Order: sequence, then structure tokens, then C-alpha cells
Amino acid sequence: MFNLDPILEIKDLTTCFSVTGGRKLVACNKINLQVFQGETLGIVGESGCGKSTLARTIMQLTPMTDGVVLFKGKDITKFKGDDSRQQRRNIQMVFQDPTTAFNPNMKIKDIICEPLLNFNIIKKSEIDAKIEELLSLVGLSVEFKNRYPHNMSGGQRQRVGLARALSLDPPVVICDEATSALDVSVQEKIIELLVSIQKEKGTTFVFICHDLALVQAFSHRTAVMYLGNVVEIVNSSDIANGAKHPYSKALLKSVFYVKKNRGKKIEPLESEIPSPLNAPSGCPFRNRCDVCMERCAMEKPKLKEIEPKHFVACHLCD
Amino acid sequence: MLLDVSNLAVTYGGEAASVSHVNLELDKGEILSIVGESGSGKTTVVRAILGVLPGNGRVTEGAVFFSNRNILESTNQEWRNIRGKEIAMIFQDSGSMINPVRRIGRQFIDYIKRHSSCSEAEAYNKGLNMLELMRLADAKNIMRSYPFELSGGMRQRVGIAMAMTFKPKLLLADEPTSALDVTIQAQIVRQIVDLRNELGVAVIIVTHNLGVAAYMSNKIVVMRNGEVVEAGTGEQVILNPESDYTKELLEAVPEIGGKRFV
Repeated sequence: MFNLDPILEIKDLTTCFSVTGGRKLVACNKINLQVFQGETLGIVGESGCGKSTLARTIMQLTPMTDGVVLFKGKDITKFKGDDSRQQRRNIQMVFQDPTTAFNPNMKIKDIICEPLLNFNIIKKSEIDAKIEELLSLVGLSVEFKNRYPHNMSGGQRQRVGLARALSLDPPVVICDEATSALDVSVQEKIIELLVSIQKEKGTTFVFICHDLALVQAFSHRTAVMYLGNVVEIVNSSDIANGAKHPYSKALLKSVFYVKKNRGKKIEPLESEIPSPLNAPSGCPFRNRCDVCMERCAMEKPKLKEIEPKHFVACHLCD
Repeated sequence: MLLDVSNLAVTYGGEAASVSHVNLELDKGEILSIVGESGSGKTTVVRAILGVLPGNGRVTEGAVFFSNRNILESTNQEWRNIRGKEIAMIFQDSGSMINPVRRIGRQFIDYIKRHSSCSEAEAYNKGLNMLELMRLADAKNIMRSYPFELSGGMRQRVGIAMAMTFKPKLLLADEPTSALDVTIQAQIVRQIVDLRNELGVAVIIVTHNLGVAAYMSNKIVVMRNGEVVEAGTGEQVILNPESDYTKELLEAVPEIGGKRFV
């Protein structure tokens, strides 16, 4: 279905933050992911699991501590100067909160065309011609071009964020909770838009979201993160019945159904996600896991391929 | 009938009503969900019931009968007796309801003493019991904590514990799980249902999450642009929606095993 060489490959990516007292907070712990041309990889997990840090590290907005990020086989974190600047065209990002993602003093046309001007792709005189094309790409009417962000609704602003990210025609777009602030009906329209753009241009999406139901409906593969670790990678269509990691199963049991499985009892996990500063030894999930064994405290399970394209980090799957 | 809201209309200063023609009926031990998109007037309705509309919001029409008395005609003194003891409210982020520079215990004790004639020690024990009832581990430690030292889920439990202290007949919950993670959301929803089962409290929950509404409610009210577009039992609204808007809303909710986009 996809090209065999990944367009984006992350190897042993680790991001640490220093906190008071000389301690280290490991937000992303040796993460390995492959993203293939034209697919959508969903990343799901609770807050504080490192989803956003991962996105920001790939974007080089947050410096990484260790690891490599390969775009078409080249390590983009090693680029210097203008090479580094030029490669940023390849990976663009849509942020969660469209109210704070823009300069409130800039008009929509300047916001969307700024990346094009930065890379000398168009001249200032060409903004008006280009903006029409970009606005229609995200389904906004051209009359928005002279407005300011505060004159628009949340859904419209999120479309502007998307238009800005797509303006450079990037092969990879990272969406960090891009629809979480929106109402369901608006969310559905944005998702349909992303799907149609993907079909048309072959864009690759990394879609970060805490809503498991949305992630599995929109992405080809889903990666589940817990406390800075990827614990499972599975085909999204298989997640409901094929998820193997106890945390993925627990997430599934916390989901509220509307029509399907109506009346199914929820079985929420007890307790809360521990602070990454006090992460348990061995398996990060062991103190909330109901099938925890002695081995889990001593040895951290590695992410292993248990069947084609299905990776799990759990001792039970050995 | 415990609560009967009839033909309620609310305006925020302007000519046009922000909310109009709202009718709700709720019996003891029932859970009613108000669902709708942002700006549909869900929060305005529950705030009007408790007489705590923000800014220059005021009720222009209708009545709110609570235990067969129109509470909108209450004097300030009567409102003070209703709020907290008869009707209690929890908010989206209980952390911002609690004073950030005072310990949880101090505020909890003050709250209990304000509404009853307890001694300091009695109030402390009562607070402790309520926190334990909400399955908060190490309640003594929580009484000593400042709000910022607790997680969002813990703060929400503290908020519910405070609201339930005087066993109110009606609990108003304004987006109580929207700021929480899915696993914590599921815990809180289960706890609200347990409280209803154990104490027989009636609950009005405002949510934009149709899954939560479908799971816990006896009745569901769908709002749009300040008006009720559909009302009925949970079954009716979810399985046989009549209005096109409700159908659209239900259609748009992603579900596991449901429609896939790719």
C-alpha cells in the first residue's frame, strides 16, 4: 500500500528537560517510529505522555537530547545554517489552539502567505493571487483574506492554520491536537478536508490527539504513548479487537460509545498517570496494570514486532 | 417533580434573548444531559437555575420551580440557603473555583461552617469523609495541599466532594469532564453515576461529549442557538432522533468500529 522506505523515520529520539534540583524529566524516551509516504500515523495518549514534545522535537522547536530524525533518509537534526532552514519546508505543523498560533496584528492573507515570502516563492505583489488558491484549498471563501484572526470562528481559524501549513506544499504535516478545541461537527469537516488533501497531494500526516475514537477513524496506523514511551503500534482498523498492550486495552475501556455498543459498561483505569519525574522502574505502566508480573518491575519491555506491522512493548507478548 | 423549568428566557443586556423557550423537567435521582455546540446556551441555562448568571445576564421570562416553588423570586437570603445546600454546582475546572493561595482543608472547613453550625473539628472530619467518599487516596494530605499541588482529576473530585457535602437534591455540573483525560473522565462519570445511585441526587450535566451524555443520562436535551431543538429520554434522542440537527450531531461523532475516514 505504501512505499517501503519511510518518508520520516525517528530513531531513539529522547528529549529531556532539566528541572530544579538538577533532576531530568524524560519527556520522550528512545522513541522509534516510521511514517510512510501518503499515510496518516495517529499518536494517542493521556496528557503528559509526551505526544506534543515528540511533535515539537520532530519540528526542531524543542531541542532533542539524543537520537535522529530522518527525512527521506537524511538526518535533519544535523543540518546547519541555510540547509537547516531550507529543510523546514518539508515538515509543517498545525497547532492546537488557533487563537494563539497567529500574530493577532496580521491579516489572514499575510499569515497564510508568510511562509511563501520567507522562502522567496512568491513576491509581495502576488499575495492576492495566491491567497485565493490557498483559501479555496481549505474551503474558505476569498473574502476572509483581509480579516484578522479575531474576526473568525474557531473552525475557520483552524482552517487558516491548515492553509498556512499547506502553503509550502510540504510532504509531511504534523497536526498537534488540531481538532481538539472544535465542536464535533466542525471537527468532522476538518477531518474530511485533511482526507481530501491527502488523496489529492499524497500528503503524509502525523495526527496527534487524545481522542482514541477519532484517531482510529482517521489514521492508517495508531501509535499509543504512555509516559514518554511508545507502547504499541497497530493498524487502526485492528485496534478495537487486536490491541495487545494492557494500556491500549484500558484506553479502549474508557471510551464512551454513542450508538455502537450502547450501554456497554465503562471500566476506567484506577489512579492517575504518574509524574514523569517519578516514573516507575521497569515497565512504565506497571503500577496501573492489572496483569503486572514480577519481571515488569525489573526489566523494561522493548517494542517488538509480534505480527506484521504490529509492535507491542509488553512482557506478556514475548 | 423536583425541578420544572418552564419557558425560560435569558438575555445578556442586548435586545435579543441569548436563550429562549427552554423547558426542562427533572425528578429525584434522574440525570439530565444538556448537549450542544459551543455558544448554544447550555451553560446559561444551568447558571440561570442557580441564579448565578455572569455579567449583566438576567432572566426575562419563565420560571424555575424547585420543589414546587419558583426560586427565581427568592430574596438574597433565600438564595444563600438554596445554594450549596439544596442545589450545588461543579465547574469545568474546579481548580479555578478554589482560592489558589489557601489550603484545600481551610476552604473546605470554612465552606462547611458557613452552611451549618459545626465546630472546627466536626467540619474537618466531615470534609475528610467527603474526600474519602470520592475515593481520594490520602485525604488528610489533600486537606493540607494547595490547589496547584493536585492534578486536574483530583481537583475535580475535591469540587464534587465540596458540592455533595450537604447532600443537595440537585447537582448542576457544567462540563465537569471536558478538561480531563479520557481515563480520568471515565472515572469521574462513573463516580457521578454512583453518587446518584447512593444518594438519590438529581443531576443536570452540561456536556459537548455525546458519548458521556448517552452513557449516563435518563433524559437528554439538545440545544442550538439558545433554543431546545430536541428533548426526550436518552434512548429516544440517541436511537431515534427527530430533528435534523441531532442527527447531524450524532453522525459527526467518531466511534470505534464506526465510520472510518481513510
